[in-house]
Amino acid sequence: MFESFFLVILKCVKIINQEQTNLLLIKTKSMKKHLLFLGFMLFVTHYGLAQNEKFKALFMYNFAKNINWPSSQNNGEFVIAVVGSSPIIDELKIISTKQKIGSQTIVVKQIKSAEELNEAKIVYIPTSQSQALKDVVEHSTGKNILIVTDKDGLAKEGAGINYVKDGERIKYEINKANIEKRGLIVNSALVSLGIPVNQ
Amino acid sequence: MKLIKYIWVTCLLLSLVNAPLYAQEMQKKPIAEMSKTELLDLTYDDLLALPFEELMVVADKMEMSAEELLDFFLNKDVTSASKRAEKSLNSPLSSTVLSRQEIENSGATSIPEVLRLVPGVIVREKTPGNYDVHIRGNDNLPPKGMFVYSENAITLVMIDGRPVYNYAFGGTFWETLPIELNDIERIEVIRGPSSALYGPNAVSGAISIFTKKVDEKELHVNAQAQLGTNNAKLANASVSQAITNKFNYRVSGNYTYLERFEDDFYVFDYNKKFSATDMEGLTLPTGEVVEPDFNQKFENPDLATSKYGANAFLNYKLNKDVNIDLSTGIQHSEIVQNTLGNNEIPIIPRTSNTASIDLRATAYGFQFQTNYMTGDQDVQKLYPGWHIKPQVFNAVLEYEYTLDKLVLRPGVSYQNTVYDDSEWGNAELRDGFLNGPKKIYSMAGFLRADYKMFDKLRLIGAIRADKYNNPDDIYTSYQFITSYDINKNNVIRAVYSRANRGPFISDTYADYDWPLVPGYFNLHYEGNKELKLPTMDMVELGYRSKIGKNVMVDVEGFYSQMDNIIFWTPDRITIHTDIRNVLVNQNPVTGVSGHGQYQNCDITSYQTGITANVSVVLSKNLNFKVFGTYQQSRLTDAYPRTIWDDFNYLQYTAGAAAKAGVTSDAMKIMGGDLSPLANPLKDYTATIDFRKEKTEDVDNESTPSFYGGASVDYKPCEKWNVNSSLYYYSDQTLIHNKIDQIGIANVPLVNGSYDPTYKNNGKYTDMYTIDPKVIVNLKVSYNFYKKHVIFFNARNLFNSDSREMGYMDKVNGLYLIGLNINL
Repeated sequence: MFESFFLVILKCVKIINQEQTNLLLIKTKSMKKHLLFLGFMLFVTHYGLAQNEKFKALFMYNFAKNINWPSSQNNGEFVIAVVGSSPIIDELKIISTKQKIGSQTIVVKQIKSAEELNEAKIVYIPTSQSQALKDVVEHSTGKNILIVTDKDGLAKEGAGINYVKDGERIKYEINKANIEKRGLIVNSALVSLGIPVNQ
Repeated sequence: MKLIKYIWVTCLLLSLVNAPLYAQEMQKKPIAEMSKTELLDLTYDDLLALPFEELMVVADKMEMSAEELLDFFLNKDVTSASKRAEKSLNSPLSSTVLSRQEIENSGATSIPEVLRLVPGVIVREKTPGNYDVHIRGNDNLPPKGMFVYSENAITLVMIDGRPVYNYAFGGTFWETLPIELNDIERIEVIRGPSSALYGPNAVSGAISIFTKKVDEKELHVNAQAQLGTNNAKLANASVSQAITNKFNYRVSGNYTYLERFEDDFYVFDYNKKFSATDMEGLTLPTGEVVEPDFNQKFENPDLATSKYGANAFLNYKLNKDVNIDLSTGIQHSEIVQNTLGNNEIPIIPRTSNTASIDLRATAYGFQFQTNYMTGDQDVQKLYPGWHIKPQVFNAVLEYEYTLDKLVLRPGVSYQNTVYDDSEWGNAELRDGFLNGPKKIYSMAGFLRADYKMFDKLRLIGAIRADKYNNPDDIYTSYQFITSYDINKNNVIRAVYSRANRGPFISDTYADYDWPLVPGYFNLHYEGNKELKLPTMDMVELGYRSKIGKNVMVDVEGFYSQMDNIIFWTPDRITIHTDIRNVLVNQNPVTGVSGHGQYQNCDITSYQTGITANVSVVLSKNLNFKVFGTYQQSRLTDAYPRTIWDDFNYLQYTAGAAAKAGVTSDAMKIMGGDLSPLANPLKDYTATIDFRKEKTEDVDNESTPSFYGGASVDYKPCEKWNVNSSLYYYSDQTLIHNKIDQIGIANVPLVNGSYDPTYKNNGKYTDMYTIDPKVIVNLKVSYNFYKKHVIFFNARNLFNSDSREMGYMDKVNGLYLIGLNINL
C-alpha cells in the first residue's frame, strides 16, 4: 500500500522531470505560485476559527446570564478579561455593544497576566495561554471570578468552565465546585447542559 | 415532450406562489426544525435572544461531532453495494462514494472527469470534454481491432437507478446524460462484476449517480457560470423547493461549450494532419474522396463539445411508507470523438437529441421503477447510415423482506430496446447500419439474500437470470460475498462473482454495406444472433480499517477472467469478373464484395491487481486521500493478425484464383475452345476461418499497469476553500488495426503483386503509445458575500498536453473563472 503511494509520488516526479524542457517556464512560475499559496494559507489560517469563536463568545454571554455574582458585585461594569490576544475579543466586543448583564455594561479587556485581573467577573484563558491558569487561580483566590479555559483537562486544574471539542462541535466542561469556591452560584440548567467535572 | 413541458411549468408556478408563504413560515419555525442553511441566516441578535439550550442546539447543528466528521468524510453511506444504506466500512463490495461536497469542491467540469477521484477507475479525455472511463481496465478487447473496442462497454452507468447504457454499440455516451454535476447528490462506484445486483453490462462494475434531494422549504435558486481559456463556457442553474412536507421539486439546466486545442485532422492514409479547408474533398491515394462535404458536416472544426440539458425532478411522499419520484430530462449534444470502426480519419462528430422519463415508487417494502428514453443520435455524422432512433424501456419490481437477521430481496425486470434507422435511410437500398427497427428485449428474475451470523459474519448471495430474445438463451449471474467484522474498526471481505454483458444491437443485427470503393468494393457487416455474451468471473479479497478517528484504509486484491469477447471479423471476399472485358482490353474485374460477421473470439482476458486507498480527515477543514491501482493484464489466445491482414490474405487468394481463371478462360477463348458469351460472368471467392488461425498469449498493454491519484481539500477559514487533485496513469499502447492506402489500394487489382506471407504476421498492426501523464487540478473558491462564491478553476494546471488516447486530440490546461450564486 505504502509502496503504491510512493510509486505514485516517484512516478509523478519522474514525469514532471521528463517534461521539464517544455514545462520549465511553467514550472518556475508554478513554484512561485506554490510559495504564494503557502503564504496565503498561513495568513488566512490565523482567522480560521472565527465561527468557533463566535459561539464561544455567545456561550460566555450565557454563562454570565446563568451564574449569580454576589449582589455587591452587581454595580458598575461587567468586565470580561481575556489573557493575551484571541479572536474571541472581537466577538465579545460585538456582544458588548448589543447586550448587558442585568444592568451592567459589558466591557472586554485584554490582559497580559493574572496581575491585571482587578475587577474582572470572567477571565478567559485561550488555548495558547493555558500556562497562565496557575497564576490566574492564585490571583483570583478570594475573588468572585469565573475562570473559563480552552484546553483538555483544565476543569480539573482550577477552571470553572472549560471548552472542549467533540469533532468540530463546541462543548463545555463545568466544575461546579471550582465555581462555587469563588462565591458564585450556578444555575442548575448550566450544569445540566455542560459536561460535569469533579476534581 | 408535452408532459415534460407541463411538469416544468407546474414547478415554476408553484415556486412563485410559495415564495411569500415561506417568508411567513420562517419566522415561526422552531430552531430544531431549521436546516443548516436557515441557521446560517440567523443574525447575532437572533442568537443572543435565544435561550442557552437553543443556542447549543444551533451550535451543534452548525458543526459535526467527531463521529459525524468521520462518517461524513470517510465512512460515508453507500447503497449501491447492497441496495441498502450502510457505512462504507461495512460495504460488502469494493466501492467508493463521492459526495456532493467533494464533487463541488473538486472543480471537475463533467461527470466522467470527477471519476478521476475514484480508485480503480481509468479516465481518458479523448477530446476536450469527451471521455472514456474504464473500471479496472480490460481495455481494447480484442486488440488490433476497431476503435470502438477501445471504449468501455462493460460498465453500467445509472442515474437514480435508470441505466444510461448505449445498447446500439455498447458503452456510455457520457455527453448524452441530461444531468450535470450540479444535479448530483453523490456518485457510488462499485468495482467488480455486479450483474446480479444491477443486470447486464455491470461487468467490470457499476457507476450509480444519485440526484439531489430537496428538503428545504425555502425557494432555493442556484446558478453557476464559468468562463475560461480556449473559449470555454460552462453554466448551470437550478430552482428547488419543498412546497409542503409531502411534495418537493427541482428544475435544472446545464450548458457546456469546449473547443479543441487543435484545429486540424489526422488522416491515416497520409500519416499527417490536414486543415479543415484542405480536408474538403481531400483525395486519398486510392482515389477515394474522404468526404466531399467535409466542412458542411464538420461545421465548426474547433468544436469539441457543445451540449445542454434540462431536467425536472418531482417527489411526493404520501406517508412514511409510500414515496414517489418522477423525473424527466432532455438533452442536445454535438461532440467530436473517435470513430467506431477503421475510417480514414480517427475523429468524427456525434450528435444526440434525447428525452427521458423515469418513475420510481416505494411502498410497503416494494420498489418499482420504470423509465423510457427516446430521441435521435447520429453516431458518425460524417458518414451516411449511422443516424438512429433509440427507444429504451425498463421496468423493475423488487420487494424487501426482513426476517430477523435475514434480508431477502426478490425481484423481476423487463427491458425492451429498439434502435431504428429507417427514418434517415432507405431500408430497401440497405444504406443504413441496421436498415429498419431492431429489437432486443430481456426478462429477468433475481434474488438477493443477506444474512448476519453472530453479529460479525455476514453472508450474502445474489443470483439473477436474464432471458434474451437474441441470443435466445438464459444467462445467470451471481455474487457470493462474505464479510467478517474483526472488530468495529476492521472488516475483511471475500467476493466471488460472475457477470455478463448484454447483447448489442450492432453485434446482433448489423446489416451494413461499407462502400470501401463506392460502386466497386462493398464490405458487408453482418450481425449474429447466436453470439455468446461476454462474461467475467472474479475473485476478490478486501480489507477496510478505521485507524483512530482520522484515517480509513481500504485495500482490495482482485483476479478476474473474461471470456466470449465479441469482434467483427472478415470471412470472405468475392471478386466478380466479366471475361468480355478482356476482349476490349479492359479490366475483367467488375467489382469486389467483402463480408464479415460478428463472432466470439477465443481470447481470454486475465487481470490481477491491487487497489489501495488511504483517506485522512485531520479536521472538518482539512482532508486528503491517496489511492492507486497496480495491475497486470494478460490475454491468452489473442490473434496476431488484424482485419487488414485478413483482407490481404483474402484479396490475394481470391485475386490469384481470379487471375488464373480469367487467364485460363481467355486462353480458351483465343484458342476457340470457349465462347465469350457462354458463361462470361464468374465469381472467385476466398474464405478464411479465424478459428483455424494461430493464436498467441500476450500482455494487454492497452491497460496501464499503474493508475491512481490524490486529492487534498483545505478550508482555511469560512470564506475560502482550496482543493487540489492529481491523477496519474502509466504508459499504455493502443494496439489497433492499421488502416492506410496499402489495404485499400490492393483490393481491386487482380494483377497486383501480393506478399503471400502476410497471413498471420500482423503486418497491419498499428501501435500508438500513450505516454505516462500526470494531471494536476486546482480550485480556489472565495465566498465573497452571503452564500455567493467566486472561484478560480484550473484543470490540468501544468498544461501537460499529451494525448490520452491514440489518435485523439491533445488535451491542454484549461483555466476558468467562475461565479456561483445561491439565493
